[in-house]
Amino acid sequence: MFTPRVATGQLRLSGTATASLFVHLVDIGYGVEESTGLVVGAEGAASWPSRLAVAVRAAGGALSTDATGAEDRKVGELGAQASFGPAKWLVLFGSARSRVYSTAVARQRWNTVELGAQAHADFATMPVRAVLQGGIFPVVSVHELPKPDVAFTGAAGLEYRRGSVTGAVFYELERYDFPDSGSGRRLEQVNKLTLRFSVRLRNGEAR
Amino acid sequence: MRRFAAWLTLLVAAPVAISAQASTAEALHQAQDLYERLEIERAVPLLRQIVSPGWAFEVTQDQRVQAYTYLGASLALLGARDSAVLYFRSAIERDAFTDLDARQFTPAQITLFQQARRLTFAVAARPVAPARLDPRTERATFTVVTTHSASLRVTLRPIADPNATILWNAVNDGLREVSWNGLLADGHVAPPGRYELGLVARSALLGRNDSARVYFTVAHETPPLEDTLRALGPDDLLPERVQPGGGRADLVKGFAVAAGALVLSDAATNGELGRSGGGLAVAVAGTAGIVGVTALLSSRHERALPANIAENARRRAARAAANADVARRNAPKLAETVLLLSPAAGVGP
Repeated sequence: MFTPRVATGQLRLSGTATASLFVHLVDIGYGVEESTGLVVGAEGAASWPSRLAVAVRAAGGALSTDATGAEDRKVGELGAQASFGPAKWLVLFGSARSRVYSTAVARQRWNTVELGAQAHADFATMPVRAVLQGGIFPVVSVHELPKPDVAFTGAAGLEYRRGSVTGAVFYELERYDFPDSGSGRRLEQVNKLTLRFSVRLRNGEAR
Repeated sequence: MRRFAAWLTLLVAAPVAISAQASTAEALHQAQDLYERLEIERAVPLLRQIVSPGWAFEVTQDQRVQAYTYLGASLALLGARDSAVLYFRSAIERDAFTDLDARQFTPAQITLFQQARRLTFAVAARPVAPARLDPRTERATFTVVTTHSASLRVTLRPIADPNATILWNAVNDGLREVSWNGLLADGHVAPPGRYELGLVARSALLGRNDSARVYFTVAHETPPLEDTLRALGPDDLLPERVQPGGGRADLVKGFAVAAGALVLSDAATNGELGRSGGGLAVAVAGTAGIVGVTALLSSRHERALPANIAENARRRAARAAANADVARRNAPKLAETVLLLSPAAGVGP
């Protein structure tokens, strides 16, 4: 997700706070386990008039579940992203992320690499931007799990800009379908409703 | 009597065989050798041949000046004062920088040469030598000459500018080095381009005028400068007025986001995991739809968009501030500009 960038100034810095309603669905052959919770995060980004941008982000929260035999868990993640805008309405990006699900007795780390694209269009009548995004995960590394057959992500949302502040609401989906490794297929999915609040900090001097 | 005998020797002496000479340079060298061995009667005919219209080889200006100079010096040794002065004047007229080295010529020769200078008025400047000039600490030097006392005015101007900078405007006699600090009359560093060094002089003895010009180019050598930001184009600014048709496009954008959210939550999810995330997508889709409809309804009449106007003003101000910073950082670099001088031919190609 990106704050609106403008081709003026030189190095531009921004800070973003996020709050997501995180719905985690897992089916390992014994029924769907649903965990839901609030995950908050922060992101720092730097962008240049050349439409190149880099960002680092961190998030964490707690997920609770009512599923029988399932435990409440915590989730934390760190990620970095680089993007480039070949056109005014298009951004191409690549990112790396490490997400950890932890319970009282176990931890599971997900290391992923995502390649994606975002298309956006500014409204003519108000300071709003429409955003649609999609990507694939060519790398999904989870301990003792095979490479998934299906791994992709998508998002749709709106950004509202006022001066140096931008607010946004997004629906995001991550889907992972793992092959049957002898103990049944594993299906995982993350649905998120994310609110973002970004502030353009200052124009830095590029050296 | 001795003079008559000398003239008779010159008239009857057989011209030096020059069948082995392949060029004017060789002939001049031979004539100079003869002169230095005091074989004047053999040197003079050879020198006369070199400067004659019938000479079969090309004679450069410098070679002709050298030949006239040695002819004058030779005839001075033979006592032919008037002829010596005549040839000295021929040399001076072709090159005002011509002079006799006191270590190689006699006082009598030098006296006749000075007489020739007083009878001949010419002004000249040497071609500008390639030079690197830091206007803050250095000076370029132009070498000029008047053949005798004259009021001399030396000016410098860009070819395309009639306004000239005066480098020298006083009486001068002989060789002079005129310095230039790299600045024009307005105090600014001379910009890159072609320049003319002009000389105008009036003889104090003869009341005659003469002028000369040489050309040179000036280039700048500056530390790498930072680029300013390009001008804001239409793509960089937001629309500042709502057009009645703009709302329809915004409605489509809103519905596209709504459709995207619903498609993701329905078609892109794995049906085996249920539709628990559907409510989240509906929330976003509903928001997007409402925003799209609002945009359509608000665009029924043309109106200004204060938020976009303010944003555009902020963008313009940000660009102006950034460019001001660039100019401020470039200023000390521009102060380090070094001028590169090189000779040029004429006012241009």
